[in-house]
Amino acid sequence: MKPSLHAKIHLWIMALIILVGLGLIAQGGYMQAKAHFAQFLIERAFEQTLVDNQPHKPWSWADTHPVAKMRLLQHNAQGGQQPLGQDLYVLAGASGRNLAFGPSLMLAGAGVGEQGNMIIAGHRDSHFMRLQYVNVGDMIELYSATGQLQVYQITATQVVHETATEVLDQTESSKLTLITCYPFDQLAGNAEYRYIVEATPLV
Amino acid sequence: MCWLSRMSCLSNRLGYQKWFISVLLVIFTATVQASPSGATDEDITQGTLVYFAKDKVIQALAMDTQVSMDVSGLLNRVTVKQVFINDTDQWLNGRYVFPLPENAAVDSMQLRIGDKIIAGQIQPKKQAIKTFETAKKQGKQASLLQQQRRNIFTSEVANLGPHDQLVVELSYQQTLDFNDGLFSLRFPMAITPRYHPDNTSNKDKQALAIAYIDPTVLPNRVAETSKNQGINVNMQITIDAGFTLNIINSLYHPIKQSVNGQRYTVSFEGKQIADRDFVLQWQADVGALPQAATFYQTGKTHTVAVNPDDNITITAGDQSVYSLVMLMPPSVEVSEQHLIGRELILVIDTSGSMSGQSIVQAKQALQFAIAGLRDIDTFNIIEFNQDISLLSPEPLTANSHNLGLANRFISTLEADGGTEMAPAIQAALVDTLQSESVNVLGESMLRQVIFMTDGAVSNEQQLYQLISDQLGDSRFFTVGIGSAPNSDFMRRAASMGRGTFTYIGKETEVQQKIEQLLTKIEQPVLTNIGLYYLDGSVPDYWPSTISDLYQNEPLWVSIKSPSQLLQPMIVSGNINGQYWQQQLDFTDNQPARGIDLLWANAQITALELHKNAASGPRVNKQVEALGMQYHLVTSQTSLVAVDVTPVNPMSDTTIDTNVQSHLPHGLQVGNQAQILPQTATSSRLWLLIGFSLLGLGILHFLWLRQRLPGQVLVIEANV
Repeated sequence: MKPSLHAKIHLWIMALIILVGLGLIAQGGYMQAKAHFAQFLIERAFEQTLVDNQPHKPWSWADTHPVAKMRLLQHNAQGGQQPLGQDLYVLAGASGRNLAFGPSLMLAGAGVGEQGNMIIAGHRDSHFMRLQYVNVGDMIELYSATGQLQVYQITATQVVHETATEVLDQTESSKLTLITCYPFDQLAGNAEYRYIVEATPLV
Repeated sequence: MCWLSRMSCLSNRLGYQKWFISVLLVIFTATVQASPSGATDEDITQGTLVYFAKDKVIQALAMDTQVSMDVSGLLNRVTVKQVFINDTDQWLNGRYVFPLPENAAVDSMQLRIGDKIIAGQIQPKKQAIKTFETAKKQGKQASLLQQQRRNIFTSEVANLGPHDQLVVELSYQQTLDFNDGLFSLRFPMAITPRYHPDNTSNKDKQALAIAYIDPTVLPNRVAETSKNQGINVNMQITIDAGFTLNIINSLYHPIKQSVNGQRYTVSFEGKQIADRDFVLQWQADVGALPQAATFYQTGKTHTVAVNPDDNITITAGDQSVYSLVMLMPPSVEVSEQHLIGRELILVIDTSGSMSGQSIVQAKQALQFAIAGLRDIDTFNIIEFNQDISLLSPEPLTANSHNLGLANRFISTLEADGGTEMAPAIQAALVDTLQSESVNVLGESMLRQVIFMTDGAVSNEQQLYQLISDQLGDSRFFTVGIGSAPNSDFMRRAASMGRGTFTYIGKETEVQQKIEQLLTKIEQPVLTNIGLYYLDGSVPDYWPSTISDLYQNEPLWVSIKSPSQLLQPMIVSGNINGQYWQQQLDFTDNQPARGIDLLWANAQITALELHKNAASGPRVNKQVEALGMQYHLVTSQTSLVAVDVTPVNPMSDTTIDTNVQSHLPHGLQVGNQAQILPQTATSSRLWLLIGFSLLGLGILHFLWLRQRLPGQVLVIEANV
């Protein structure tokens, strides 16, 4: 084998590996960046909504609008409560497109402030990654688009199969159901299981 | 794989072996990482159904179901016996989720413990749950029957002893489907989206599209269930139609049948696994088809105290007469000149939520719809996202030039943008029919709006209001597109618009479903149907708004009259624009049982259909009152049966188990089943692989340049 050809092959392989690597980083990074930075735009739209009580789209071509602000509170060692992660802005309609930008309210369930089962879904690898740290008894603060605060307390967590649509069933009493994929440390998409967090409103 | 082998020898030489191997392992395992580990395969032997809840491995209950049906005329009384079997050495509590037909009025439940029979009491839902839970804690045997959705029920048993069994026996009343001269009865045995090709009750089809598979079950394990495990069903049907039948036909199951005079007996050949619906159809001899039938019952079926020996006990006290009327409208031979033209307004949702498969299906549906137009028809297409755009400002006649225009319009449609449905509904319901648009005989045209959407909207109330305000003489049909449309919205919108709801779940169904819809609504036989006494007063009948009847559809209505004497009634309507009426004399009135249940059930269905956020609490109260009064299992009332003596000494440690519903035959999970939203992306996987490859590339580069630590030493040593 000629040394020059040998070196060439090595160079090509190296270039190829680096290119594919960069491509994948770009793809994965784009998803993460979208999830992270869209929240700022959504926050802006939500604040406008708080001012004039009109739905605002976070960006002009959006098919959705923010409906709520959510904050997870965790009990700490001192007996107090500390927020878990940054505030999350919830979008209307849990389509795959919306979920890429933020946790989304399922329209089949109750609306924010309505009676019934309110269902919010979010990605386990971005917004709802923090759900793995919540415990029964922790609080969830939810601000509606009219600025009203409702505090929920987590009553149960469970793992269900993706076909277990009875968690979407409407209930008579008010309830908040959070859905994300399970297990949290799985890297690939297309999860078969869901992690369900149920919370009931504190009066 | 030159580079791989080269790298491994490189790594060997440089002592980086561990690092490399672990990176490679991460790459490969990450892509194949499986479901949460917990259930170990050693525990699973063949034919055993096992599932896990978080970390625990629990055995599922076995279940035996015996169904007996008693068909008399157009009524069907069904008794379902569910035998919960405990094969384990522990005390168990069992739960079984199962489907029943949507029009089933479930009115009785009994718990059988050995020879003892305990009759179920009707109680408001919350109270029933409390009664049941208390009994469970006290170690008493008990059963609870609840409605989850209109066609999904759960039965639960408490304190089922080791190697013992409990029998829950429930009964319901229903009317048969009668369409095109064909009688059919359906017994659902698996819960999934099932898109029946048959023509029965298009309206409630979506109600079937609920996938319930136990949350904690690995679906691939379910497929391993052998015949002797799981839910076996035994079926026994007697048919007393009142006339001679010529064909009895089971669509999906092998059956045995025998005849004794006009009494037909049908049963399963052996036991069948409950993985697909049972459908039985029969036809009457020509000429024997009923044109009208009335049934009546005086007083209620159930009083507060129920005689446990006979779950249907008619008592005096309530002297109301309940009747059920089936009426076939006169069949109209439609001649060429009688054909009524129609104005078809097709509305298509092109918002972002329709992107992907949905828009493809919707575009196909549009193409089939305009292909089915006749030259006496006119049509228009309205597309909406955050804006609306019309194919033409005025409806076009269906000639080839205009159809070409329409096809070009359809092919340019793309799904993007927001969903502003109100302007589209407004545009669709603007009455473009002028008074001159009548056919040769002076009959006005039909105005039909077909609305195709996934229904992803949040201002539903406003839209219902808009539809009922603007409807006029139009009829509003909704077509649900995509894998998970907001069917509740669409069914109610269609009901407000006096039309029907059609669900299209798969691309292969588009043509068939659209053609079926268009042919069916081509010629309404009877419209504006009303019911009144001879003196003009209106009886207490349900459903209170009777939707239009199309070809070969019978009218079903349940009536409650105050006195013993049934007064004659008038059914009126329009046939081809002409006023039509028929007097019901109740001369050929047949006594029957369970008619009051059907009346109450029809009223509950109507109440719940028009339930909204504002009327919700009131409707719930009404439904609860009806359920309590007529002994029906509803969304607000449940049946509960409790034995007196505690039998389980360790009721605190009793394990909760589920009976596993079968996956419907041939169903691929995740293919057509409705599933929870997908809430994961592979972003972290791409990042990990990306960084690993980048690292490899950089190492390779350093190696080429001989800059790796230790490399220089090796080379120097070689020299």
